[in-house]
Amino acid sequence: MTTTPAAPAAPAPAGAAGAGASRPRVPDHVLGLATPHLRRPAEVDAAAARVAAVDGLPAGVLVASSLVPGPPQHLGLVVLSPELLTDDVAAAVAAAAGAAGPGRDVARRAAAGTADRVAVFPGREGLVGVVRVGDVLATSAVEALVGLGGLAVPEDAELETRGHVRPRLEDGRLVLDVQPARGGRWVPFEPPVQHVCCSAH
Amino acid sequence: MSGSHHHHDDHGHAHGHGHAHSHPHSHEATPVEGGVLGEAVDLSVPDAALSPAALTRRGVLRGAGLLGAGLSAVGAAVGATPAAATTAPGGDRRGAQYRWLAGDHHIHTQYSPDAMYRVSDQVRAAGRYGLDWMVITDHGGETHARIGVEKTNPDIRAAREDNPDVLVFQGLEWNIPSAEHGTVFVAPGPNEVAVLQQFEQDYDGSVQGASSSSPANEALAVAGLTFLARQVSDGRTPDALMLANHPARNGVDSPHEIRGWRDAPGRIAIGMEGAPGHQAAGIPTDALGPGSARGYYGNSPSANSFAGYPLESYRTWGGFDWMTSTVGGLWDSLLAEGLPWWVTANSDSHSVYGDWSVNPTGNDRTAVGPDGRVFEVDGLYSDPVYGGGIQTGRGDFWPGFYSRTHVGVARSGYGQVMAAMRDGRVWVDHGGLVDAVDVRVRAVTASSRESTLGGSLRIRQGDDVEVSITVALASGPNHATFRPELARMDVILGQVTGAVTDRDVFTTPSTSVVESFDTTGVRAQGGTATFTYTVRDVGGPFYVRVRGTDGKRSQVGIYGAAVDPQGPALDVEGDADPWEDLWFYTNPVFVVPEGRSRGSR
Repeated sequence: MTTTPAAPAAPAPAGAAGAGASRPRVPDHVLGLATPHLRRPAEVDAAAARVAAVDGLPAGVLVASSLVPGPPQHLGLVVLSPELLTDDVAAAVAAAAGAAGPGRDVARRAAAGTADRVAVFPGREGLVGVVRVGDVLATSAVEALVGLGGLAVPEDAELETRGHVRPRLEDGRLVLDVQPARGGRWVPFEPPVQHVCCSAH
Repeated sequence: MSGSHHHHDDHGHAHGHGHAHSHPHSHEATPVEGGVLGEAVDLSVPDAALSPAALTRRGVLRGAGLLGAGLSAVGAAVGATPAAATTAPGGDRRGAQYRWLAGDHHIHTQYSPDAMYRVSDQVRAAGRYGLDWMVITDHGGETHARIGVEKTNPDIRAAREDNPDVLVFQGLEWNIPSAEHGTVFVAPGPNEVAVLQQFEQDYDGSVQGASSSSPANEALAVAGLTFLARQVSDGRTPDALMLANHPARNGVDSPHEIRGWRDAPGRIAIGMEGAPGHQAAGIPTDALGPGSARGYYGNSPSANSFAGYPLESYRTWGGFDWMTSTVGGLWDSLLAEGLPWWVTANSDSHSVYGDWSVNPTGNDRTAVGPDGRVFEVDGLYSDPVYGGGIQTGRGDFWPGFYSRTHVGVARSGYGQVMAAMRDGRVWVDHGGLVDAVDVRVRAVTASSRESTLGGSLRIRQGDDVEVSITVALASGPNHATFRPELARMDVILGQVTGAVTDRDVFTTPSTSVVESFDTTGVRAQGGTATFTYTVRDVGGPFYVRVRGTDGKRSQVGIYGAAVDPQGPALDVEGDADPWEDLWFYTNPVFVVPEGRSRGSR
């Protein structure tokens, strides 16, 4: 498998709260993986953690996923790296993800600066407990927080991270969707644990 | 142009609110003019003169009851069992009275792997909290299909005997192949178990391993509905209905799937939960609540989700599902097709917030209960036991305690309730917000005939149409022992624009709130009032529906203030007190002008 160069990132979206640094941060090299066994976010997180632990992976990588319509419909894993991955590292990444081969759809989307959900990104380890929105922007690769339903998110507001921050990649920028929570705080849109009802799904 | 006024019945004087309105809904412009729907609804065009597409369209409308009965039955009837076209030409005789029976079609018992109560517990609770009908809907699954559905039946029959005032239907919560859950239920009869069991074994997504999204699984869902239609047409069961439950919770009910169920033979699939259950789930922890998301609507997209849905769709708004709460959203896009699709509100009661008892095994399906029962072996859990204290971590209410689905019948009975549900003579409320809401639509110049919820009024092109809304405020306390106060009612009007080319569309541009009535003065006027909204010079088919609120929480609608200036607010995760945010929704009434001259195009 080889990595493909990423396309230049599109301009930042207008109106995103706390639009910080203007420089797009799409890493230069994209490795898309065919992962038809990944169907739930929690499964992606586990695979992403295994990928992030691969020896020789450059600093600053993003590990993300996007919906692949299929068939079978699944969540395709993609690694975005600031440096070209060696063949050995790429092979180790593919093995860690349990990949069946290259994932062209997810790679193409990532190269265009888009991914549904980023599980591994720089500064993620600091996003635990309650963090001021301004500090989220200053200390992590997250570049914007967007309130659900068009609500504005002030920089001095507090984000209750719940230890689970999964931004999306939009126009080459990491954007975190958030929703209002108790006491004027905000929480990420994505819950740490999905409420699974009953036996199905 | 449209105008409106309202007056209070008890005093018979009109207030000076005859505002001149210039809404986009005055029907000078009819986008369907000359289109397929235009031909189909123009009854001056004989069937024989219609194009095949228009003829099919007319058949759809006729099958749905939209064009009324009494027409020649030429044309493509929809499916095995064309829907009861109960609406007489021009509507019903004015003043028809209905008994409104409150009910709940989504209730679990110890026959569900994640629930706990006896059937008798739930039926007694429903009776205690004022329900007239209910459906037992334990989860479909291998154990339920093999044992549970059969074993539930004697419990249900006993509960019917012990609670003669409550109609107890047997159903199941279907794991819709490729999609979410749905209520499926049948009318009582000698084959109720046999029909449900065969359906579940052959068409349940969990039993068949067909829950994930795929075209094959989508086809299996439609095949299941087709099977039910055949059971009805073959006389094996008097009736069967399906409603989609918590449709937007996980984004897995795509718009084209919903349309596919709706258009399946026999009109078995009639609607969806406008409001999901689990309404206590958002009570904050420092108010001794579970502190979760209202309705347990706190998830995010998965691989089975429809990619087109926005994140907003995964949350409740004023306790209602986004498909229903969004003016101009998915529900309206279905209604704008001129086809029936109704909303309900239910408890989804599994384990009740503030109750004292627990499942003795902690919902362990393989554990041996106190009386020796093992869920996976016996199909049900042991009976509840005292839990040692009040249970505050739960998100559900008892049936009837908070959510009610009101069905208008001429007289009570199992078949009557199901027929009325199929007709859409249904409105829903939370927290006992109002005692009654009665919507009547009539042509101003032919006011001896009218249509109510779910019906369709045929008028002459160019007629003025009067929408009359009579509301009776809550006369007493609700089950939280306070009397809610209705603050406002909104009239929502949308043009019927016909079949969609993109079956995944979930917006419609012509639907909006066209009038809001301040109801805060109604209490002083005796508690009952009639408000009227008039649509002038109707040129094309439209529908109208009504929504009311206690006015405590609102937010500009997703499609902007011009569409919905004071819509329901996004429910805050962990901070959604259901008693402080009450709404009612009615189903729509359709209005179909006819007699348009062909030369006028």
